[in-house]
Amino acid sequence: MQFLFQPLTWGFLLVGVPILVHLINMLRHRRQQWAAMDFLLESYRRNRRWVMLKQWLLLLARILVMLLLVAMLAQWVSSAQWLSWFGGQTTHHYILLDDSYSMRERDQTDTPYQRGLQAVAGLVRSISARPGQHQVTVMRLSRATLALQAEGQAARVDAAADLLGQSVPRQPERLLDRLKATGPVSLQLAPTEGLELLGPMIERATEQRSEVYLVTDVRRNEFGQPETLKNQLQSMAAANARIHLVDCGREMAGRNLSVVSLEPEQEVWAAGVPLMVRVQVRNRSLQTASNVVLRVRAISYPRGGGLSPDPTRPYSGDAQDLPPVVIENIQPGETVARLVQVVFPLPGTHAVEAALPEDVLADDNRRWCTVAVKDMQRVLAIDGAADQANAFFLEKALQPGGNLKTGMQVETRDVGFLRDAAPEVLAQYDAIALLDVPRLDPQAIDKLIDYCRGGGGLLTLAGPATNVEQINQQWYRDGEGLFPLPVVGVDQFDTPIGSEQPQVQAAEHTILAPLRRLETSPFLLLQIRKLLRVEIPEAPQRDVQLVAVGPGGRPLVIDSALGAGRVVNILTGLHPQWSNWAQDPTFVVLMLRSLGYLSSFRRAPTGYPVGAPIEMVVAGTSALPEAEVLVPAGEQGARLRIQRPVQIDDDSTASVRLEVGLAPEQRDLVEPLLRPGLFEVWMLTAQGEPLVECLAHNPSAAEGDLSRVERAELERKLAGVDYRFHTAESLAGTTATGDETSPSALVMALLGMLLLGEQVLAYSASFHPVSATSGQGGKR
Amino acid sequence: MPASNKYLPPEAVKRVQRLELKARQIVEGFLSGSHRSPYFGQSVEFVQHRQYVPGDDVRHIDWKVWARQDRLVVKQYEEDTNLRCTLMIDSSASMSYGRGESKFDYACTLAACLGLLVLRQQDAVGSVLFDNRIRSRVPLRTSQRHLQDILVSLENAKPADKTDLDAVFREVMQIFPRRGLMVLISDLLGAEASSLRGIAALRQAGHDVIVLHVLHDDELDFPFADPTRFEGLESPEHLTCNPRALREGYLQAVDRFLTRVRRSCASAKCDYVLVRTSDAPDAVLSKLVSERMHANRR
Repeated sequence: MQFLFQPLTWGFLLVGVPILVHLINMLRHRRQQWAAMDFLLESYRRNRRWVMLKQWLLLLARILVMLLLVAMLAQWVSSAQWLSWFGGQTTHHYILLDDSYSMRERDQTDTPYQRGLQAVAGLVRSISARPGQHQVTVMRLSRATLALQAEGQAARVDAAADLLGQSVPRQPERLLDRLKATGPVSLQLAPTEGLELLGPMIERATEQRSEVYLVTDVRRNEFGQPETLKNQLQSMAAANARIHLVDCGREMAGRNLSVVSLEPEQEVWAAGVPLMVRVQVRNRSLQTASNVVLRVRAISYPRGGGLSPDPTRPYSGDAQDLPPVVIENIQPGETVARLVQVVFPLPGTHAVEAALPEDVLADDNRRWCTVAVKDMQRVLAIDGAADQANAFFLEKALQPGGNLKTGMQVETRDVGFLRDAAPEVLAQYDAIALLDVPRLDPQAIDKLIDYCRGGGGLLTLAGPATNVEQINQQWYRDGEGLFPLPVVGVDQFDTPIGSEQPQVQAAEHTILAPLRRLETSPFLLLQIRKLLRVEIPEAPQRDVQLVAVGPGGRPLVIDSALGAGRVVNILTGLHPQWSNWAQDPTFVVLMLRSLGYLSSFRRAPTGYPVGAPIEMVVAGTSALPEAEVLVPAGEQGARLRIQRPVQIDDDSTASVRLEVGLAPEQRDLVEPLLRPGLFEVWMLTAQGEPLVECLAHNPSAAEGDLSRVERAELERKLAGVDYRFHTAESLAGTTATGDETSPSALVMALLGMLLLGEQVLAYSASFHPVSATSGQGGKR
Repeated sequence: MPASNKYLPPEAVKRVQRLELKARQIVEGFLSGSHRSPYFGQSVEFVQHRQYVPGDDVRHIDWKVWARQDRLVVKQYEEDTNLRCTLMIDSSASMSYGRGESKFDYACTLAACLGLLVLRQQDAVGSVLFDNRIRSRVPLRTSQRHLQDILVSLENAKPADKTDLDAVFREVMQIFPRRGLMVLISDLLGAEASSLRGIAALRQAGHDVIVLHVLHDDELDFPFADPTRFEGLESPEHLTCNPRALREGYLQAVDRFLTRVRRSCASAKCDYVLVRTSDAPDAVLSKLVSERMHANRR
């Protein structure tokens, strides 16, 4: 048994008062000498039982009145229906408001979110007019998602809810003022997270009735496969909660295109080297989109370029519009990819923005990526050949000389270098190439494995010095080493003269992807004479991909994962006994693409999802203790500047971190930090030189899919869940009638009648003083 | 306060002295008066002839009858006598009920007024105070100063003990063997059966009986409201109760009691008057005298 105002339950002690009064009245009586005792005794004998009954009824009525009064004042809360008549039962209305960015779909008049707010307002109005005690909890799905990332169940609900257990007043207009100022955020949100947060709370609240309202636009993203949602709703229904689904979506009325990805290719990112950025556009509308103009902008943040934070501009860096990409047609549901060439002449963390024209949903029309461009990418070459011929060919491929700049810088070392080099030294190289290395010390192998596991890339090339036994015994290491597969042997191939069929074919892999697009095979002149034979099992121990196949369809180049890094094994050699690849033009492509590919796995992500922490770490430089974060502008106004302290570690590493959180001191920053765009983190070195880090935060592309689940389909998918379906319009029009007769009032009247009955009974039982009518000679 | 003032308030005296109490039945007395006597004497009102027997006064022989019928008869005339009125006042404990003026005080006032009335019309009056036996007695006298003796007797009495009218009436009949007017002033509580038997016995002895049934207003209306412990005046019984809850039953019991008393008195041909202590004593007597005169005419 629970009461809303627990301290008032002390009032139940007042039950003792009627009993005390009763006992006092029994003791307190006048004494009266009386002559006609016979008649009195006769009357007493006749009426004794009735008199006793009236006494007990009176006592019972008084105790009952006292209990009811205290229970009503303390507001007894119970799940029993009839107790709502006493005004004591509480109904808790949990309103989960979907604020994912699909709720920002612009209609001719309003957005689903605005309709959702109107529905919530109408709902609260109708609740206020209902009898009984009502509490309302309003929570946005974005806050529930953030709360689930925090720790501590109770704290999460408290922090996440916009209104938590708020009693609904008779005039509830001001209750939702805070909510009216909110809007959707650029997140993909599922109602399951909100229900997960509320579920335990509802299950614990057994003393009250629960009603759960899910205000959403019922998109296919969330309701297409609602198994988890269905289970959650069934659990809630089992906990006696009534489920309401409020649909505030409408059929899509216009064009909706999304930039679904914007990624730099996995190749060399060096200053002055053209960089290809792949952008994908999806047509999510029901009509073909024609002549779609994709605007691309390169934003340069050159290191030491004299930039400073400027919140008045969209970007503090130098923004340069690139030639727009025009896509002639995009069929409904089709995704079109385009490559855009960007050149950043100076090293630094630069950014690329791709933007589509405005349509019904703005959030997915723009996307950003960052590119950490180096001056040069360093490649460590270990050549096992005594004449360093392999290194020579590699160097010629990567550093052809003249004005041609590949962005690669080869440093050739002997095998002994690996044995002596510290891991930190190896970590300075973007990729390592083992060129026909016959043997490695186990320590060197360990270092290389660690290097790869840390995200580094390793290229191996076979040759005359290659020791198959060494590979199988030391390098393979049961699939966890530098070779993903054991070498079965060395195959030799005769060189067919004038064959029209190339020996080599590029597989479906990013390394040789440019060569696959050519109409004529570039491998016609390539001859493979010797090849390490490996067999790729159907279920390899680790991720192994074919890059190219050689004669007889045997694996020629394989790519495998090793920890966070990759290993590319070229199973032939550059020596003439093995192949003529060193003289073939495709060798240059293979080397540039392979080493560019291998160097890409240690790079920082080019983009983060909206809401990810904002962090900048600077090592080896002393920084001033305060940093500044520039947050992308919202729909209106300039960018927001946030000052944050810089953490400086013992090893002179300066870092600043900004997280989205629901703690009171973080709450004001939730909305700005959930914006998509380019976040700039600025530090100042002790010498006054600005350091900038750009972080691209992009909304989930999937949320841009505005297709909806219709009601009939929804009912099929949620079969077995007891829920009520409402449209936002039907709830928004709800008004408080105010003329409903409250059962509580009836109970009050009943209580009044009970009190009246008690008075009559008490008068009949002589416990009420009367006017001085008795002139008898009694004495007290 | 003199006893005459206590029990004879001047305004009552003024009203009572104009009344005349007559016996409804034949009563015995020494003096000739306005009341018929059971004895035949010299009077103007002839009653009957009777066979002469030796010893009869020859002056009463009706000689005209002897001349016509040759037999001796004597003429008998109805003798007027004075009223011999005995006031029987209940002084049992139950009569003490009442704050200020108790039932006993009221009964004494009634008795004093009646005594005054009887003496004013030259009749004899006496009194008996009793509970379960006769506590004091004042003999019958016609002297005007005799009233003072009666008043002193009343003044000295204190209500106590139970009522036993059966025994008291037997004693009274022995003391007052000649027929007269017996006025019983009592609440008849505590000894209903014996009281009714005693009244019947008085009537059988030839007395003219008037029952003035004195009850307090509280006893008739039972106006109590607060929780009360009722303690018996003539019995050790007590009852703590809710008076309002018992009132209806009590009033029904009282009503049944009064009905029984009325019927008994009617069957014994007694005059019965229920007297509330709130009634004015002179009004009660006026009503009594009026009813008796009306009854005599019938």
